[in-house]
Amino acid sequence: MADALASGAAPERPDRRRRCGARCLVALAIVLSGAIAGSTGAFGGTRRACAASGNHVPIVIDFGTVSSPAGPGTVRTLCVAVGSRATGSDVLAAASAQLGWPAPRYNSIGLLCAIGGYPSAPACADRSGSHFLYWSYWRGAASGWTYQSAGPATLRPSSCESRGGCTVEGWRFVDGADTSASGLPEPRGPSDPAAICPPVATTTPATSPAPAGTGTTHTPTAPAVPGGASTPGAPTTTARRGTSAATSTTTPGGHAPARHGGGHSSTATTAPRHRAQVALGPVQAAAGRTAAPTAHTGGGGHRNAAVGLGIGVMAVLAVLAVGFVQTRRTHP
Amino acid sequence: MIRFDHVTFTYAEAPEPALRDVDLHIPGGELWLVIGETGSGKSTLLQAINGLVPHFTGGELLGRVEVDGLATSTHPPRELAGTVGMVGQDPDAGFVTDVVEDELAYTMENLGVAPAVMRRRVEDVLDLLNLHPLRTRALASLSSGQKQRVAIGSALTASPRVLVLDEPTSALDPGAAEEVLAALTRLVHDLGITVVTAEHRLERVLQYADRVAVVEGGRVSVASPAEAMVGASVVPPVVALGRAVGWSPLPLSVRDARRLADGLRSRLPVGPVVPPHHAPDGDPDVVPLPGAVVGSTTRLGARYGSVVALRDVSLDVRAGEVLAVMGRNGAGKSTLLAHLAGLREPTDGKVTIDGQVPHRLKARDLVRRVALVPADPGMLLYAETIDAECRGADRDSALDPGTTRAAVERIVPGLDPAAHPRDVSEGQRLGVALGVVLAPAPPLVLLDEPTRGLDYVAKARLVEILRELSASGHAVVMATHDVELVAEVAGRVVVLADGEVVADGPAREVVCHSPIFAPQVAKVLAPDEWLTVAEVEAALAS
Amino acid sequence: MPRSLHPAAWWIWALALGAAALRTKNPLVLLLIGAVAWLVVVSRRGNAPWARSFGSFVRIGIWVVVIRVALQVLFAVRLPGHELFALPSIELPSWMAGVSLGGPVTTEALVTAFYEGLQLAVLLACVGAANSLASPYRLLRCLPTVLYEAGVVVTVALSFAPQASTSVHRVQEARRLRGRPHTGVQGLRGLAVPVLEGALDRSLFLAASMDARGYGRKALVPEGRRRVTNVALGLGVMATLIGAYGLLDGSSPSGLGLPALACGAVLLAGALGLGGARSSRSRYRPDPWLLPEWITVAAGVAAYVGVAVSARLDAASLNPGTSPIVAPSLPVYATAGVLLAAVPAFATPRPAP
Repeated sequence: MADALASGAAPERPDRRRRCGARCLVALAIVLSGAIAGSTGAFGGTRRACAASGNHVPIVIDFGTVSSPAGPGTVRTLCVAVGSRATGSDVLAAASAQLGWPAPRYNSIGLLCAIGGYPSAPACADRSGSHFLYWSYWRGAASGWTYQSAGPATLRPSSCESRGGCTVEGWRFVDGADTSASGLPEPRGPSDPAAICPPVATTTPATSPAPAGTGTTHTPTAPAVPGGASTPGAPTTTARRGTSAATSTTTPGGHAPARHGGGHSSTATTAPRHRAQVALGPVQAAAGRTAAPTAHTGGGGHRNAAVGLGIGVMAVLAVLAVGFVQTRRTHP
Repeated sequence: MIRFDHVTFTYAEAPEPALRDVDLHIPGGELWLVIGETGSGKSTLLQAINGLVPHFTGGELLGRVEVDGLATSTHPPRELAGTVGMVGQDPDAGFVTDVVEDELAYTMENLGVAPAVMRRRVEDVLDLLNLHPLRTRALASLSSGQKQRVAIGSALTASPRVLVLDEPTSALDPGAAEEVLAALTRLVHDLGITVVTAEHRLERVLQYADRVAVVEGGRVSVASPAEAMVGASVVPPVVALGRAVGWSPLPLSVRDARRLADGLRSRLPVGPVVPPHHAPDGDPDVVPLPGAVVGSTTRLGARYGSVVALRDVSLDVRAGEVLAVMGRNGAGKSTLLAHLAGLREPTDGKVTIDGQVPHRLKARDLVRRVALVPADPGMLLYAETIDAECRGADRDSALDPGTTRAAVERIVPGLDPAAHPRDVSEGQRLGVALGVVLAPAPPLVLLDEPTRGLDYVAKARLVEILRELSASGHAVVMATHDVELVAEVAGRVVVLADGEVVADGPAREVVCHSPIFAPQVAKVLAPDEWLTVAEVEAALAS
Repeated sequence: MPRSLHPAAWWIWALALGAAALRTKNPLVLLLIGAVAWLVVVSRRGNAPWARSFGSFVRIGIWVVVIRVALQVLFAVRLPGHELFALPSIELPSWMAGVSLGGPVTTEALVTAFYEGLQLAVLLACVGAANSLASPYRLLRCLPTVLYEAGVVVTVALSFAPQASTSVHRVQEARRLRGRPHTGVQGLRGLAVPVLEGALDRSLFLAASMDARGYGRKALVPEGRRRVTNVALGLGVMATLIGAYGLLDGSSPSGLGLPALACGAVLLAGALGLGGARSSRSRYRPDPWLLPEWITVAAGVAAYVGVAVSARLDAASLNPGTSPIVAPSLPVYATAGVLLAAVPAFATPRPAP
């Protein structure tokens, strides 16, 4: 006879932990779906861009030598209005929104994969031959560029209005092949914040509306060949350097790609455009060719995704239903 | 067949050898019984036969052990698997597969027996041990008796020359034990297999044995069963009866004794006798029945999943009575005790102990009302020393310091308080466990299989303890297969079958009329209702 | 005729399904894999005790998801995006840049964690399915003699969990009988030692029993041959691991997976053949390998192939972006493959009652 203590396995008693686990999961699912609904609804919105209370951060986005939606070898320079405690990610997101680009894409561990939809999903820091292709993150000061070893979500750039002054957020798409003996190629754009965001006196920020949305597109003087075979070194240094005066009067280039990017936001369309049109002719053409289809697939993708989502959920439910029928049959 | 040649074995780091200069020759086709107190070296002797000692246990073996011409020094256990079949004490712990048929075939698979032969042998063993209704059953779903038979079967399929069994019937109900022993004798008689078995319950095995090996302090002496019984300090009831009456030669089986008993019957008073313990004018320390009800169950039902363990059980347990719960393995005895002890919540009906619902009580309140000693009393003990155990028990139950120590001392006097609970003998461990749970003075004491693993000395002491408990007004409920223990102490017997009460009444009535639960004395003197040797002696003296 | 399928067939099916789950984070595909595993389990499991283990695996899986999300909230890798709420954050020293305690929690981060947790949970469900469909002991019988130690270890390990749970129960009851608290943190103290002690005793006993019953009897194999066997075995295991890595990791060179796996399989087969040639083991009622077994294996492989084809043609749909969040779409080939994996629920014999 089995002894008293061993006889009968565990008695039938409700397992509290299991219930808690299931409940936690249900709660989690509800929270997540609500959150997803909320954030996909706000998807593409310019959340931070308009939240500016007069904080500005300069940013340089350099597509390097590759061909990109913004054109081969494009360099974008702009002064972005952001919230008070914005991170590097926030600045980048605000810049993308301002330019009408899709939001920057990150992978699951927080690595930045794409700016302005480049490179297209699912690529992320992929390899080409023995090299990696990725976005490198920099900080610029009057003295030059510094490579950042931390990610944009952890770093908080100080705004130009703050007491210590600001630095330039630098992004440069790197093809490992570019790496020379001297190290990684730097963003080709002004590293001096004053060259992008006009130094603001301690006057009230509200009185200087101009910087919001100002931007410059630097195109290397040597026209970049769409294969990315141009020589990037020299043009960087000779790129037109926007002074504070120049910024306010020259190219408010943000609007051009914005139109192609789906026309979400055109925060910077008040400035004259004729000169930009001339200067950006080829770039626009390139941007138009590549960006427009992306926008379309994006919209169509939404519809397809909804259908796919529906079918997928139905498939899961169907399999579960068959399973229930089977349980009835095998264990009546 | 088996030869021990001046074998001395010492476990690693043990001060004393476990076997001393053992010289033994066991011829083929005999059934040998190994007896001895717990810790005398019985298991070591058995394990030395197939080489588990020393190959698996470690330690130093001097001398030579040979089985069927193979020395265990050069042949590890796995090489001897085809020669020696080994069945351990706990069949459950030795199962390697999960289905009866696979378990039976396991050894043969390892030996590389041809598939066709395997099929035939499995069928043979299924028939031999009456296992064929179970062939596709999961091992986990079997009762202890069935498991024990499967374990024996799985050793037999490899058609070994020698079968070694360590207490094969200690966990079995009398019916299942008979079955197992019948199978063993059949193996010896029909197949010529050599069987070596250790057993505490001599009354079950003695009649079948060809020779008896008595192990005492690592030394082994060999005698015929009758010779061994003449000088033995502890003997089964049928031998004790023979001694008391002065029969010669001593009867070893009920059948022998019945042949001699005609003369005795005529000397004894006829008709039902009044037991000396319960005589109204007998010992003054016996509480007359019935006492107050200390525990009761009302239409108690218990279910595990779809298995019904108890159905409609209604019982009253009264102060001062010793109630034995008997029944087949898996009849629901342990479940009943678990419910009385508040370990389980009843599925149906209710349990009341001292006016309270036991499973709702806090542990601290529970121990003041009911005590349960499980079949493995060591489960209750977890401190490093007995003294620490006692002090812990005082703390847990908020008793005056020293109460538990005193209770233990009363039950097992003269125990070394610094000893580890694992190091004392089986009987002493039961005593310590009993003392620990009795210290808070609960009116109801429950014992599950208290004699499992106990030798005769310890059993005799247990009988005394139980009588003292009942005399001091405790209600004792014990679930047991040990019919001799029941005959000695129980006043009332409840028989369970498949979770239902099929008999409830005075021990004498219930036990004497059952072919399975009758003690040896009752069998010898049937149809007269005598239960114990002591009764017969008393009647003869008067 | 009702019979139980060859355990290896179920394991291959389940592992292929699990490999498919490892290559996608699309919650639709993952849920579909989980649902298919469940469907097959409820259709074809037997009555043995292990057949109930699927539920426990699913329960563990649910906990994995919950814990993964909780970890994401606490030690967030800061995924930028829509902030749901912010925990007080602790800035870690600069050498731990990129990791932070607390801080803002974004929807993107939670969704990412949920997908990853779900992937693990579904993988667990696949293993659970194999556990409840195939008898572990019957699978063990297929283990070649060369792997003697592995056999003992696996058998002991298999018996450990049920025994430990029985022990826990017994120790808890004993504590109640002694008037000690038997639940909660206090009950936990002092539980581990007796339980582990008991499990250890039983494990040793089981190993002794296996030994006494002839497990691991040595066949007479010449020394040189044994050495060759061992080397082949080692190389084979290594090649198989590399191959499995190649197949599971989408970013590894495409020429790595299958060739290495095939190479490993050949080496292993050779080693086992060499080692087993003189082995003295035989099989009682060996499980046959017939059409249903082939169908089962093919169904599992179909799921993997479907996902692999989708990965080649439409990688984005297998790993829907979480930053920014993209509504998961349904990759056609992967879906079709995973649905095919449900075929064994109908195309195999029922288990014997």
